[in-house]
Amino acid sequence: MSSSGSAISVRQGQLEVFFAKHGNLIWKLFVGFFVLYILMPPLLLVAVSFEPSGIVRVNTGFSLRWYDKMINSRGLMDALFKSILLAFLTTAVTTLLALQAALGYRKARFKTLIIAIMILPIFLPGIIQGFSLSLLLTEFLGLQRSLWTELVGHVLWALPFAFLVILTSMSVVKRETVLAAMDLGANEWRAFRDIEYPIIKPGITSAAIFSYVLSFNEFSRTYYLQGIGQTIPTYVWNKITVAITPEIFALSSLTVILSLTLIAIATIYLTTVGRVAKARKEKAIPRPAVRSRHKAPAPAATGVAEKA
Amino acid sequence: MASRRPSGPFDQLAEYFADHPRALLSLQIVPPLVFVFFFVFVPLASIFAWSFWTVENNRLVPGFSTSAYEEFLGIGGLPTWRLDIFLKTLRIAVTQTAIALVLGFAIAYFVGIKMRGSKYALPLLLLFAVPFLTSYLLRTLSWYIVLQSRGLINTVLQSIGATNGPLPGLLFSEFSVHVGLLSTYLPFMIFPIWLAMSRIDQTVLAASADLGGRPRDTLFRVVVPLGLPGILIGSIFVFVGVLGDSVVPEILGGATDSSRTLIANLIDKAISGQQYPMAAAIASIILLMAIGLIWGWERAFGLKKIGEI
Amino acid sequence: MEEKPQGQQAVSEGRGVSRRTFMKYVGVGAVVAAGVGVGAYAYLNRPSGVSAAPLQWWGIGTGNPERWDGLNDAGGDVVFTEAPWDPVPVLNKMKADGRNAYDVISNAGTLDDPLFADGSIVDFDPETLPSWSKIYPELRTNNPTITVASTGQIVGVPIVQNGDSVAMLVDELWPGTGQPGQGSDTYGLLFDYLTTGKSSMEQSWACAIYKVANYLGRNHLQTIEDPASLTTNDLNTIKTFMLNQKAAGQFKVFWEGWNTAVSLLANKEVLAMDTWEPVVFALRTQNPPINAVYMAPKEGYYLWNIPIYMTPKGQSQTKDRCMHLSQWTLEGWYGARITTIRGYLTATPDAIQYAQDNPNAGGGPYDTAFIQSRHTLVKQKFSDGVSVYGNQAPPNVQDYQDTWTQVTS
Repeated sequence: MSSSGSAISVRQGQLEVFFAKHGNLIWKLFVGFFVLYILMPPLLLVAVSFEPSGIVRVNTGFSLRWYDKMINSRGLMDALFKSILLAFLTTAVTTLLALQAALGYRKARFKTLIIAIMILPIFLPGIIQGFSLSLLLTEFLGLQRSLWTELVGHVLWALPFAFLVILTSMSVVKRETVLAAMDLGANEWRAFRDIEYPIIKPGITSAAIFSYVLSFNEFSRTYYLQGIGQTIPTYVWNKITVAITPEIFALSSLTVILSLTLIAIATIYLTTVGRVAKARKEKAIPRPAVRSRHKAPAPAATGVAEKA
Repeated sequence: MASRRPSGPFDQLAEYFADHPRALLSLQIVPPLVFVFFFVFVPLASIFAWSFWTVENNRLVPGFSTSAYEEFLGIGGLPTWRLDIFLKTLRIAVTQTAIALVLGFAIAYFVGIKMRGSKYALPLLLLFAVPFLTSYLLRTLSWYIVLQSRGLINTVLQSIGATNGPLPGLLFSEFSVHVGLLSTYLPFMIFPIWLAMSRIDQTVLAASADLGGRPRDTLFRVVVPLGLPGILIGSIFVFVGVLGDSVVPEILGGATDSSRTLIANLIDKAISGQQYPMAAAIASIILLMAIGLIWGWERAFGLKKIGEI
Repeated sequence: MEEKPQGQQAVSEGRGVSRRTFMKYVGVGAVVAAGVGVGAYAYLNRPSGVSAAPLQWWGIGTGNPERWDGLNDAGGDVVFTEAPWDPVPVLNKMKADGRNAYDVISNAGTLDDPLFADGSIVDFDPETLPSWSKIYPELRTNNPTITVASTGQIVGVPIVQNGDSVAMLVDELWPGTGQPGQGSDTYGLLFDYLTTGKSSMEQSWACAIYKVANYLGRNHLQTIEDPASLTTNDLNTIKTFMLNQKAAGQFKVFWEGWNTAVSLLANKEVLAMDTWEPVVFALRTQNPPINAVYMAPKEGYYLWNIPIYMTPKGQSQTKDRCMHLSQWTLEGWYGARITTIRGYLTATPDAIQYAQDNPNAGGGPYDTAFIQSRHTLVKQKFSDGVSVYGNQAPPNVQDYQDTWTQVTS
């Protein structure tokens, strides 16, 4: 350790102390700034939706007329329902496919190849995927563009993400646990349902949410694969190039307000559940270790082990 | 032991598959693979093919001609403006990836490691997902409010006396394109890295500290290597995303520094102008880059790592 | 012996439904309800036979009245879907599935020739419409946008038309006078020192390139034979000129889309912009009003016309309703409505009389003087001897596109 005689190392020392004391605050400010940065566009949309002139600028007033126009806009409502429907379908198909792929992947031998194939769509810009698929389906297969062609595009887009998420959540499940269950007589389906599924449920839910959100906002592939009815992104695209339609700002703003509210509710719920869980522990109220729908008791494993 | 023989339909199916494990494997893995293969590989192969065809009477006609590539790359004395745009896009994509990497890693580190166990971690991450429920076009348009001559930044700066007039180049420049891109792609970088970091066992971090490592050492010698799959995935997301982005440059790009047309816009224009071989040629080149990236990843790190995130 | 583990006892006995279970049921219930709701809506709105299906009108948004007063369509209502201006996507879509999906379309007028050649639109004898003879002569005869050049057949009904030029912010460009000053009558304003760094042109070639061609050609700054039909040399000339202007920092941005256009001018980011006339109206009706003026260029306006065409589907399945719709666009309410909300000219003088008789009809109020002045002004554009139609489908359209893409890149 050098004896500090120079001003520089004193400065350094002071700096280190400063960071040590305020490090956490600096971190929080840093992350907070970027959270704000990312949330800036949606929040600005909320602001613009109340701007009476409908021009994209700092608010000069407050007005609800665009919300009124939105509700009365038949095209917008149709596009909204179609987007929701498509997103639901995409979520269902994608989550199922991704789950199957992840389950099969673990047992497969050509793991590298499978991963390469599954994640390839990520590497391709949407325009290329959409345009190539569209050309193939219409010119050379003679199909019409329709909801089903759009669905294909959306599933292709969401599948790699869902696959990766589910695969990640599966990495927590220890192989030994599953093997133990199967040794104890569970067949593959039961092992999955009772052991794995509860553990990877967050992963599956995340994958489902991912798929939904990705599909709802998908534009480039949808643009080339679309039949007659429009989804929200293509509706917005068509309208915004030729007409003044601030009612779409109103729609976006509602989506933002709704999702922020849901997140707030979830946060409050999570934190209070946390408190309740702690309180339970303190009062030593027992909670079931494994929530199984059958009456087959979870401790039967230990029971058998004792007997054996 | 009174054993309950579960005999629902799924259980019977499971009994069958217990005896025929390969059947189950194929049933599980084949549909997704077939789906991806048919709907991804076949169109991609078609694109390669189409880039050599020609267009007659507004229809793609089989043939062999490299004119699309020549025109795109400016070979043989042809103008090179498309190539210039391509190189500019690559430059912007790499820059953007670097920026997103540094910032995204820091944020993911904070949420995944420092904030571990905090109940606010999940809601925080959900917040990052909120923008994706709104239209990309409108989100990008809303940056006008912040960046324009009478926007938030200029108004605030002028009112506190820091500047006299509007700052040039805040909007309609390469800077604003980066601002717009970052707001979209930062979450794409954060999420995979966070995922990777949350898998790092707490005991490993504790062990590193116990062995005398300062936080900086733990960071570079434990967290980064273990989080590498996430870093790679995030980087790919951002890089490819920028390559395929046609919205941000059109809305936020400017005229003088030529930031409003990137490679994705060129593909768009080629398609809408029915120059299919040209669009296919550009797409093929990007595809080759993508395949090169995957191959390089496999050689350097091994693709299997992704599965172990 | 089987024992129930304690945990299960605690849950299934006496404590009732835990909050977690309740929230789970609520969540699942909400999702299921949403799914059922969406499914029901989709099912109820499925197309169910020709007579109940709405009339599908695919057209450029400027022709959309957004209300259907007085249409009295016997079969059902009308669904208007926005179409893009760009000619090639329009032609492609019509060739692919558009001809069997839409009943009527209204696109850029000069596309009638290629559309007819493709068989995407049909000759439905529009001359038989009751109001046909009332159409202004300037729009009815010698109108390339509704006449097939090779055969002389008339295949469209002109519904909306105007001549485009440049929007100018008077108070910024010529401060103090409130009136347009020097340079306000030529496209050269866009390339002038007055608007350096604050000028903008459209990123789509369809309208913009003709203004440059007219400027260079008619002022004899460059040799351009026929601004309405540009050769490769002409295009190169234009390209060089524009690239030089761009490099010198003349343009701030190449705009695209209505919201951008209005925002750029309202926020004074640009001072002169080649755009559509309704932008100027939107600016003038701001609160406080912005002194924006639409240029009257000596090189001539860029004339355009959006007619209604009928598709094969319309002809075979819904011909009567399509004819009824076309007739309706020639009548008073449609004319009054379109001119009031956008300032464009419609085909017959009925609108003026309608506004006079029904100033407070739906979608109004309708100002007779304003409508009359618009009719006079725009009709004049079509007969000033200088303005020409912009050709959306020239034979070398690829070159047009490439030139302008390079310019705006």
